[in-house]
Amino acid sequence: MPCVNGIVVEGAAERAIDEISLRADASQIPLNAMVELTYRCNIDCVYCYCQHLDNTRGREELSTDEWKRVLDELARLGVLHLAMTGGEILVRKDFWEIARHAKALHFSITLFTNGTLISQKQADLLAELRPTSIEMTLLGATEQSHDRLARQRGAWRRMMCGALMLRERSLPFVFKTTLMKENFRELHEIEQVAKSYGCRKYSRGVDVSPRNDGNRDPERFQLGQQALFDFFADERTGEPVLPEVRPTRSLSLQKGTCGAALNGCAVNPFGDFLPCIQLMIPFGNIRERSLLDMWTNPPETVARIRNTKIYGQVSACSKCDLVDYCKRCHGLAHLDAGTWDACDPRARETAEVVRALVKYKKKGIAPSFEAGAGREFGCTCDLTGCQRYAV
Amino acid sequence: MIRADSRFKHHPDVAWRLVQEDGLLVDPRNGRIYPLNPVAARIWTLLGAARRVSEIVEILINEFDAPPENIREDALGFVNKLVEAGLVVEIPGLQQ
Repeated sequence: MPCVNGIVVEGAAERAIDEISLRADASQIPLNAMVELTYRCNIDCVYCYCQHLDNTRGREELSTDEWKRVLDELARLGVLHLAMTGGEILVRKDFWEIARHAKALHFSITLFTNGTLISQKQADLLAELRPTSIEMTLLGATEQSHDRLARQRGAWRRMMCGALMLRERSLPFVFKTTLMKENFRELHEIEQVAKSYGCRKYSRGVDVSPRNDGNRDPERFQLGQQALFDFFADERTGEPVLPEVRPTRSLSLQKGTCGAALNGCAVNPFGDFLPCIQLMIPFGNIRERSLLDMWTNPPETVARIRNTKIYGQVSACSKCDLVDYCKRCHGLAHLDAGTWDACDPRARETAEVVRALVKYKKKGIAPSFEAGAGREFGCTCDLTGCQRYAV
Repeated sequence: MIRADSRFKHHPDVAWRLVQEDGLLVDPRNGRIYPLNPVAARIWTLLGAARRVSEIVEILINEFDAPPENIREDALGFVNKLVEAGLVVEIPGLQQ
């Protein structure tokens, strides 16, 4: 199934699409790809995983022609669903040239943008491009709370102006929220605001990733287990985000892993060809080899990732008592432990919450989690650049 | 109703990919995704070459092992569905 928001699948078509997707997997055709056009961004969200990286200084972003070649090769590999993301995609002066090239190759295009650079002219260009989905992140229910987490005054206002311009043109935009300690209390209000602007879909996530270079600063904003439990247990919000719980351990060991390097792939701004945007183990670099060559002749580690299709094949999961409740990420495991088949610590924390929730629903026993750091966002934050924001 | 001498082209906003013999279409205007079986995927490909519907039917009759009348009926029905869904547009001025 496509991993983007805004796709509608109904009835019998769903079965047929699943069958085609399975056949694509069997033939190693990646239907999904993400391209990170740049890590540059005009705002500086507190939880961003690709800002202030130590390991990208001095690296040169792909040129327009290099991106066009990447897109040509992704189309040849069979990619249909193409997500273009950043950084902020609209800071690239050649964004429209690259995007039009993608459209000419018949990709279903999803754009991830912070929305602050959408002008009337950009909205007209978006209407011509006609992407399948335009996804923007709404971090707070008010201008103040959003701008505080985006660390830029006016970010909310400009994004909402952009949203209205998209709505005027009947363009399908999606709001999504990463829930953190700082906006958790507003979660229902944020949803109301998102829907009042006429988004096609609204979604929430609860995972804050470390930065791509392994820096764990963003994790300080992550919800603690008690908040996660409250979120999952709230009937207004919880059920759709619960990882699939299998009734028995033997079935859980058979559940599928994420499909990185199998039905999906990613290219970062410097041409590293990755199994997934989150998994920093490259096939190679497009400046040295073609995508097709890298895809068909992957390095040994990537081949192992591709061939690890069920949880029972992951060494850290095969004996874990939480496998029934877990939804692991190879990339987060790799960032944490330096090896992709280690335990994903965030998934483990979440799995503990899910297990407690299942118990709570069966027996009515409310869990007690250790209080997290519970740090409030404010002047004590020492993240790089934070001082730029002043209320 | 579709005429045998009509020609169509893919709607330029529709995303699509052939997946071996099958195909997938995505209409970004409504977010719908459509699966295509091998015959439908073949018709979609032939429509992209601006062929007449009658030519497409003849090609299918030569390629697929089924009664010609069934193929003709199925092909016209499928093209009609594509037109109704706005996934293809008729090329004007090329009918005889």
